[in-house]
Amino acid sequence: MDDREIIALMNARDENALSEIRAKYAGLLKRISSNILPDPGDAEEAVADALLNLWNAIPPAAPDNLRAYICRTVRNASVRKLRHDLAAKRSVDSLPLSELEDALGDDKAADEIGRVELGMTIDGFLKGLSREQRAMFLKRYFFFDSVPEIARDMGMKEEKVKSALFRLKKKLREYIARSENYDK
Amino acid sequence: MTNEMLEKMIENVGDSYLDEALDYGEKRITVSKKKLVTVILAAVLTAAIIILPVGAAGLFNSRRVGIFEQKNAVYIYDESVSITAEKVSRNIVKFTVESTDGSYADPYIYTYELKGYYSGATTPYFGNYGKLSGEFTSDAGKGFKVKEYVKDYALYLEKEPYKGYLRPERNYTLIVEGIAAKLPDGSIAELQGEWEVEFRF
Repeated sequence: MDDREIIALMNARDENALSEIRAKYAGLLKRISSNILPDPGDAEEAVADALLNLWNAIPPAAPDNLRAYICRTVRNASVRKLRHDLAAKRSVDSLPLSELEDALGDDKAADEIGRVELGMTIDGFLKGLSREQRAMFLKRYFFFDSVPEIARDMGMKEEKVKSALFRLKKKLREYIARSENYDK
Repeated sequence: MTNEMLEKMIENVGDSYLDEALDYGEKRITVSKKKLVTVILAAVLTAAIIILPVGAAGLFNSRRVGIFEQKNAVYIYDESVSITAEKVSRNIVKFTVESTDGSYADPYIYTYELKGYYSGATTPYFGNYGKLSGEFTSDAGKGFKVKEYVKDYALYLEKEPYKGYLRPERNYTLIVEGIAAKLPDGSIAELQGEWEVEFRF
């Protein structure tokens, strides 16, 4: 079943839409959630929570790209769960995002950037990259794939991935610095 | 830039870029072997951590006098019944039925796979929060019936056959009726009554 048909089922409040999503994307969703939540039960629960969010969101939401929408929903549900579960112990610094934070420094001025502007900021940054660089950046910092997984997926050596990610972090730092200077 | 701002920035990536990244390179839809080994090791360690303390923590006394039925005869006992609950896996719970006066051979151990019928408000596709009632099936083919299964949080249920699983750090209460037990001669009979078993893993 293609994604448009699944969305049509969602709009008709037909629960078979969720069976179709599971049949089509279960492995992908599990991988995304497992990258964030090490406990398999937690990962499964986060996927279930995300599907509930999806069911409640569509309609009225009408995503043009269902796969990306679902992946984002699962990813964000997993991060929220990790944040909630580990709040008393430690932050989500265990995710690769801490690598980016270290590279970018603690610039409080950036805190003033609005949510929409942030989306535009990252999309603007990604637009200036090659397709390979974009994929690598998002595999690492959106889907939280490990360096060896990225290397295997993209047919590269791990060292090459590490050095490419290092350069990408530097580029992002420069891009954000330019954006902030432009705003001033 | 703070971690929170980075997180917000990254989560707002455009769908087209996500789609492109998903399609780039070899598509992997299964967990890698290395990760699978890590997951299995984590599960084994978690199971070990969970199982170790529950032998003591899961012990509760029954709350009713039992009536012991075997074949055509009925045996009535005044003794209370102790039930130990131990989590074996995410959907298998082991109960040990014990008697202190030798009325029947003890301990008698059953393992049960958690099955039941969801009675909550939302569709069972999702992580639901509510009651589960139905029967526990026993590996011995005979065991107690669960009158009501109550959980306080996060039971994940799949559609048919509505299997659920037990999660750690949650409170569970089982109201059961009829407990299978072993007589001194080794035969198995059903102890009639109703018990409330509370446990936490």
